Amino acid sequence: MRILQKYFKLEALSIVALFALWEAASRIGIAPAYLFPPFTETLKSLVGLATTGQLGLHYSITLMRVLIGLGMGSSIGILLGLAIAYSELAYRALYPIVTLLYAVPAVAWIPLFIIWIGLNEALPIAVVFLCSFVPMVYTTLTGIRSLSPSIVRVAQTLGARGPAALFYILLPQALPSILAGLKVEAGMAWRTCFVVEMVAASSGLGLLAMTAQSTLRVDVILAIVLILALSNYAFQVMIERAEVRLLRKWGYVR
Amino acid sequence: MPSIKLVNVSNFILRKVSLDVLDGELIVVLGPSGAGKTTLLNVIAGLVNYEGSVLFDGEPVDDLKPCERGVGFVPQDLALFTHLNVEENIAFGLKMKGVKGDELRRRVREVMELLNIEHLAHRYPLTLSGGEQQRVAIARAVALRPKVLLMDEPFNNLDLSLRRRLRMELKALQKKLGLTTVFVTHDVIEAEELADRVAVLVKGELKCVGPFNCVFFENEDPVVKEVLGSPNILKCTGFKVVHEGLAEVECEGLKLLAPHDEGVVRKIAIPPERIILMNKPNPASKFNTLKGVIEEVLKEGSYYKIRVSIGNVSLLCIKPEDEYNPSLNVGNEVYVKIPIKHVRALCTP
Repeated sequence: MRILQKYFKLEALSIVALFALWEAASRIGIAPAYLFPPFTETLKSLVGLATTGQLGLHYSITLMRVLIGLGMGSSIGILLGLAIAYSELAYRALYPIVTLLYAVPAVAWIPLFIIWIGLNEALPIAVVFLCSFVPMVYTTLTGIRSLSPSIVRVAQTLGARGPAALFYILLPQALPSILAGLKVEAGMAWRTCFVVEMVAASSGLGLLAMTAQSTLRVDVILAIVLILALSNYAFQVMIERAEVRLLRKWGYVR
Repeated sequence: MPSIKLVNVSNFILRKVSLDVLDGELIVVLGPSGAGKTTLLNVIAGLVNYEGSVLFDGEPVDDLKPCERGVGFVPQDLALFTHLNVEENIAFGLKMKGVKGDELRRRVREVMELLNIEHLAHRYPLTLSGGEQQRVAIARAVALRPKVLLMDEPFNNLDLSLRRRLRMELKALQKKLGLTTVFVTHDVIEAEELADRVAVLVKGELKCVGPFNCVFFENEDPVVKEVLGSPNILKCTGFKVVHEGLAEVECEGLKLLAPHDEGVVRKIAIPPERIILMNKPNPASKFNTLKGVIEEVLKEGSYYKIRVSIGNVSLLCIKPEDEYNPSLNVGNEVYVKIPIKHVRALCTP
């Protein structure tokens, strides 16, 4: 725990150092201020955006899209992963399709989805859904496959078959790997949502960044990127906390 | 508790295995790794496919699912449910069978008391010591009051003294509950201490079944002997008790000191890896030192197999590569020391 605290302090320190370097580089004038505004100016723009209410509005829209897309994508992904891990039939029928889908980056679906779904609220959610769904199927499947086969055997002799074995034993046993996967996919969801909003949405942080680009407001773009980065970071920390708490409770880590 | 009968059981590894386990008996299946020991347990539990028939108390159970057969299973890696605490691990099977409320609590408590793990009820498996985990795994297996207990080298990853203690505890528990038990191991000492009878399994074939001493001292099959550690077995003709627990025996012309319990020493067994080879005798410890000639030296993997002839007897000695002395050449004279404590004696009334 002490090492962990030290680690966090060091982490905070390195971030502060990055911002200081940014500030200094900008202040000594390596580029004109309108192209590379200092950190403090960026913060000011951020506060400005927030006071107009614009940031709050667009941020909550993006957050909602990420939460819905990630939530639905990962939960359905976990369920499908469980089914594929459990049933040989499901494995043979669905695994090739999942593998095919895995090769396609989620953003590659944007042009198609614009035609199929149209430019509406369902579009970014659909893309975020896909980008969480496919990898979570994989993560769940691998998590369960890496469990000792004797776990399943013992569960069988104790009378756990079918869904009972799946939900009471396999799912919780695979939970540590599922949470590790979810951490990665949460980051991916933020990035993907931002990209969709940049190219095909009438709201959200991505749109805000594109609008700022058209008016050459570098400070606003940087402020939005900062918000995106921090949001992602907050998600990671939250999932990691849950993960550590669970692993500590079960005795995987002390 | 029922008897178990296997009739001509075959599958991808087992070949026509037939075995009778008596009611309340603890049978140890001994065999090298890859012999099919785990598969044999899986067959009895109904966890793998097989041809042939398995009967509990004369009734075929081939069409029953694992949970309907009434077996308790302790696998090699224990497979404790790490997300459940000790109490929940033990209660799992009972809950699956629909046991609820007070009865569930009472039965879980009973089993925990039986294995002396009440104080661990709320701990999670990974926070327990190796020995505690073993007890939880056994508790979980017996909680459903199974007809048959199946154990797959459960004590493998523990230190020697703990293994010994757990073996004694298991034996006591097994007798107390009268559980018909099939225990799988590759450890000869474990077999000797636990078994009512031993069954030797090699490459999917059951080679022999019988009381430990019978299998250990009487079986001439080289394959079985290898599983038992290739002991040198000598027939004894003369015998005289020289001290309590110690006898002087004459075996095939050799005069040796051997441990002695009761009755007449019929045979002795000398484990080949315990024999000490010396260029000259150690004057400080002269007992059981014999002079012989090296007959044969064979290198097998990282071991040397050395045959020494002493009179009419040819003794097998096994030395690891790093203990091998280059002066041990064929035709050389050598002194053989047989430590008394490693000699095993077969006594009959």
